[in-house]
Amino acid sequence: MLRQVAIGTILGFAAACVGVSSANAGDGKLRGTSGLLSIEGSAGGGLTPWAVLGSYAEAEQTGISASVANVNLRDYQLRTAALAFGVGNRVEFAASYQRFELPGSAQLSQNIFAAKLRVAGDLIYGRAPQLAITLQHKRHQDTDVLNSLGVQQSTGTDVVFSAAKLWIDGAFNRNTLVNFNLRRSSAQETGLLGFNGDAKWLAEGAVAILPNRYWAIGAEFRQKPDFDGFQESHWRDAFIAWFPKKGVSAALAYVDLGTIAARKNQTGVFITLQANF
Amino acid sequence: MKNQFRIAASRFKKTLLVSFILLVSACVNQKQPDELYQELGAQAGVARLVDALIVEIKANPRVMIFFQDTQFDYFRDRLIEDICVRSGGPCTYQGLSMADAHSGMAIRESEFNYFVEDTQKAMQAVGLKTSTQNKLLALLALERSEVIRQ
Repeated sequence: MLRQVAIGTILGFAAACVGVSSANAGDGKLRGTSGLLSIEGSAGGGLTPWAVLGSYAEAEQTGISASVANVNLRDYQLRTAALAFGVGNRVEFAASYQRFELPGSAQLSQNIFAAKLRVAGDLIYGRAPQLAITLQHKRHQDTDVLNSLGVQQSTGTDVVFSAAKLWIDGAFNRNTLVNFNLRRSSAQETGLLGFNGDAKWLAEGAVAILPNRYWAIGAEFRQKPDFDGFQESHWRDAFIAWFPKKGVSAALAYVDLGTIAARKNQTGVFITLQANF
Repeated sequence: MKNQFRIAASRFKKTLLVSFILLVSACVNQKQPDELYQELGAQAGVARLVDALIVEIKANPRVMIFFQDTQFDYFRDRLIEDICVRSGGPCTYQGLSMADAHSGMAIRESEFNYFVEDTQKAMQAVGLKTSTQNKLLALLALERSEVIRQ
């Protein structure tokens, strides 16, 4: 945990040194358009990253976001902490720590180091969707446990191609966001159960509608792979997010993660709190 | 005989469904060309909105820097015309093109958004419905490429 914060801070200083001369705090984006830091650190929804960039930094600005999340399932608990650094609505660096607590006292944890690049387009303005590429490098911290499960690989890197668009005058004349991802991944249960030799293409999607400038409601879907011996369920959630001001955001979700490690009906509640600087 | 009846019934159902869809879409699409202008409260409503926006601009240093040399009476009349025209009202815009009006200002993406936020506050202040706010914002958003980085 300390390590993550340290690395995030170093990334922050590094980018500041690279010459973002403006002393502006990153608040140039419209409220809500930074999304929230997902369970893997990269900005998006809760269970999936989106093409949006974390923090409220627009061009010539920088911004930092920090979040904690707790997913309380029937038999498990997932806790995450994430730190993201946004440079000019162009690049996002994120570091996150995941701890997955099993029944009893056993636990699995991994660190994720992610970078996202906005390749083209803008979330709101113009016709083109915002396109982004995200790399998520995952390093499992409990190699012994993985080995005892017969899993040899403890590291892996996901590549996620994302497209997102927010229509200001969308469904019901409300701001309406749609995101679609294609992910190339070898991770088993997002990496918490290690990594496979093979990689698969996976689809992810999200929709959200903003009743007003302070609230968003939506749903996400995340396709999961079916590597040998690991029957994974697709993940789903329905969420409500709150953006009282740019500095603070929070979300509450109902999640359905299906069967995880042979335990069925892993539904529960997802809560995340975030601060943006 | 039975079969024919079934086909006829299925056709009837389809016809019913199609007419229902047509009816619903007719209702949904029954838009007057000046619908948004009327929602904004016509000339008086647009003027009230622009006045509220000028209050927000003057209170926001990050936006006000671009209005140092602005004659607000002139700006007010042109903005009323612009919103009137874009919302379908009976006006003629007599100002400069968006690109010319912002030439040399080098407005950044963030600064454009600060102006959008002032507009949101003004729309809230005059009590526009969220749906009306979004319709107007979607139109103003189209101007962004001619406003920023000029």
